[in-house]
Amino acid sequence: MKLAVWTYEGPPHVGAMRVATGMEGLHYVLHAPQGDTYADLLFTMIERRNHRPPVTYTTFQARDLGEDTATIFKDTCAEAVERFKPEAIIVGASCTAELIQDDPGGLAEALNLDIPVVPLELPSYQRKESWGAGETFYQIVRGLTRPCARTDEVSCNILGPTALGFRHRDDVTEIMRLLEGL
Amino acid sequence: MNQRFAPSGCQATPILKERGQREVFCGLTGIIWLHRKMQDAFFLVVGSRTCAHLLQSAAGVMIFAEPRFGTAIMEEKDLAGLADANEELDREVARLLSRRPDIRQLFLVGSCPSEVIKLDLSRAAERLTKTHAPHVRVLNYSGSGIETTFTEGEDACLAAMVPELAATDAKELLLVGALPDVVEDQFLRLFREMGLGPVRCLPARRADDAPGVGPNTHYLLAQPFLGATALELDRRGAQRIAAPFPFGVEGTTAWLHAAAAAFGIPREKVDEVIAAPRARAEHAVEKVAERLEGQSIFFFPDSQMEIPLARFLARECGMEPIEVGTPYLHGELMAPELELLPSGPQLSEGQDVDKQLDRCRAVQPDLTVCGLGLANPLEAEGLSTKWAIELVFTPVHGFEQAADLAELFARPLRRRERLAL
Repeated sequence: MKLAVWTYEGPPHVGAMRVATGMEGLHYVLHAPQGDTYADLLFTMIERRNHRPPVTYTTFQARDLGEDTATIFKDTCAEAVERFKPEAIIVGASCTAELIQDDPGGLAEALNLDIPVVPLELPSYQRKESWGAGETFYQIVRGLTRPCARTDEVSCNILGPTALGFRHRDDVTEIMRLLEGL
Repeated sequence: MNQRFAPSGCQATPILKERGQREVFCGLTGIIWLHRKMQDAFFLVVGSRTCAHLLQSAAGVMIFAEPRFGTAIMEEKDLAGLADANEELDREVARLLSRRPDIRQLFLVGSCPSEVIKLDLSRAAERLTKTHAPHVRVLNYSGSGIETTFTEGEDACLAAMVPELAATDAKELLLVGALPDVVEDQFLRLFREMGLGPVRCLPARRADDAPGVGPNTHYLLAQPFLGATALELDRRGAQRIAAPFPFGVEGTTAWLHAAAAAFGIPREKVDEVIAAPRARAEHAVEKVAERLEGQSIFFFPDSQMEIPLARFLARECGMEPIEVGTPYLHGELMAPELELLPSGPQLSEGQDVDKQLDRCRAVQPDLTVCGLGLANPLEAEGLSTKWAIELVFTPVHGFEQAADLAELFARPLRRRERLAL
C-alpha cells in the first residue's frame, strides 16, 4: 500500500481506452463498477473530442455483486455490439472487476459474435497506464493482423499514437511532413 | 414570480426506471468539496490506482502541495493477505499524521476494491482512533461506486459522523449539508435576525465545532441527497423539519418558514426578516428568467438535485422540463418537491445512458444538463448543454444566489446566441 497524492499514470485499462479512442471501428466493453465512467471526461474535456470514447461499461453496483455480474457483462456486450456495430471489440476488466473474476474474454467469446473479440488481461495491481496501452496495442495487432500484398508505392505505418498521448498529434503531423518531404 | 404552472404536481407521475450503463461519478468525488469544507480533516482513500487517478482527474488544479486527501494504493501483496493490508494501512496513517499535526479528523474512505476484498475499514478506524486519540479522530465511510453515486459520498461521510456526535438535550436547529461558507453564513445571519437559535452545522468547519445531537435537535436538510444522514439523525432521536430545498425564492422561503415554525417564530417575523433579500432575489431572478422563459430542459441523472432544480426552473423561470432524470429518488425527502413540480415531465430514476441519449436526441431540448463525459459530444451534435457538476461546485442555495443559479442555465443559451450557432 503506497500513499499517493499525485500520479503520472492512471490504471492500465485507461491505457486500453486511449488505444481504442485513437482508432475507428473498435469498441471496448469494460467490466467495471459504477463510477469508472469518470474516464470519459478525460477525452471529452481534456482533449475536447466531439464524441465519447468508444467504451461501454457494465457499471455494476453492490446489489449486483450477490447476483449475476457475468450475465450483466454478457448482456452489456451483446447490446453494445448491436448498437455500435463495431468491426471488432476488445474486452476486459477494470481493477475492481478483476477482483470478482468473471472472465470477460471467455464470456464475450461465448456470445459467438460475428466480429473478432480481443480479450485483454491487464493486471491492475501490478501495471500502469502506459503498459496497458502498449499491451492493448500488442494484443490487437497479434489478434487482427493478416498478411497482405505489398503496395505498389512505398508506404509507411506509423505505430503508436493514441488518444491523450502527450504531443502525439503534433508528432504525427511532423513525421508525416518529414516523410512526404523525402 | 412566474405564476404559470399546472394545477397538479408530480406526486403520481410514474417513474421510468432503467438499468444499463450509468454515466455518473462515484462517491469518492465528494472528497473534493468536503476537504475544503472541513478545514482540519484528511481524506485517505484506501483503493486502487483507479481511485487515485479519478481524484486527480476530477480535482484538476486542486492538487496543491500537501493536499488534505490522498489514496493509499493497494498492491498485489495487500490483496493476498488482509493482515498485511491492515499493517500497511496503520503504517501509512502513522506516517501521514506525524507530519501533519494540523489534521484533527481522518476519514478512511472505502473504495470499490476495498469493499470487494472486504477490507474492514470501520474496524481499522476504531483501532486507529484509539492509537491517535485524543488529537485525531479516525472515522470510516464508503465512497465506492458500488455503494454510492456522486453526492451520496457526502451523505455517507456525514452519516458516519452522526454516531460520534456528543449527546445533548438542548433545543437546537441543526443545518445539515456541506454548503459554501458564504452561503452558510447568510443562512446563519437570517436565523439570527429571526431570533431562531442556537443553530449548529453538520459538517462543522473545524472538528472542535462539531454539533451535539439529541431528542430536542431539529434538523434541516440543505441538500436533497442526505437520506442516510437523515436516518442516522433519526436514530439519535433528532426530528426532521420537512420542507422543499432552498433553491430559488420559493424554495428558500418555504425552507426558512418551516424552520421558524418548528421554533415557534411567528410567520410575520420571518417575512419581515426575509423581505429585503427576497425582493432582491425575485427581481434578479426575473431578469434572468426573461432568457429562460419557454425553453425546454432535459436533466441527465447526476446529483439528486435534479428535481428541486427542475421545480425552480419551471415555477420561477418559466422553463419546460421534458425529462428529469435522477440517480435515486428518495420518496420522503422529495415529497414536498414533487408536489410543487408541475406535472408534465418524464421522471426517470437510474439510467441506461445510451437509451437516455436516444430520448434526448429525439426531443432536441433547448438545454441539456449532463455530465462532463457527455457535454462536448452533445454540443457537437448541436445541443446546448450545462455541466451538471457546476451545480455542485457553485454557490446556488438561498436568496443571494437564486439569480446566479438561474444564470447558470441562461449562460449556455446566451453563448449559443452570441456564437450564432
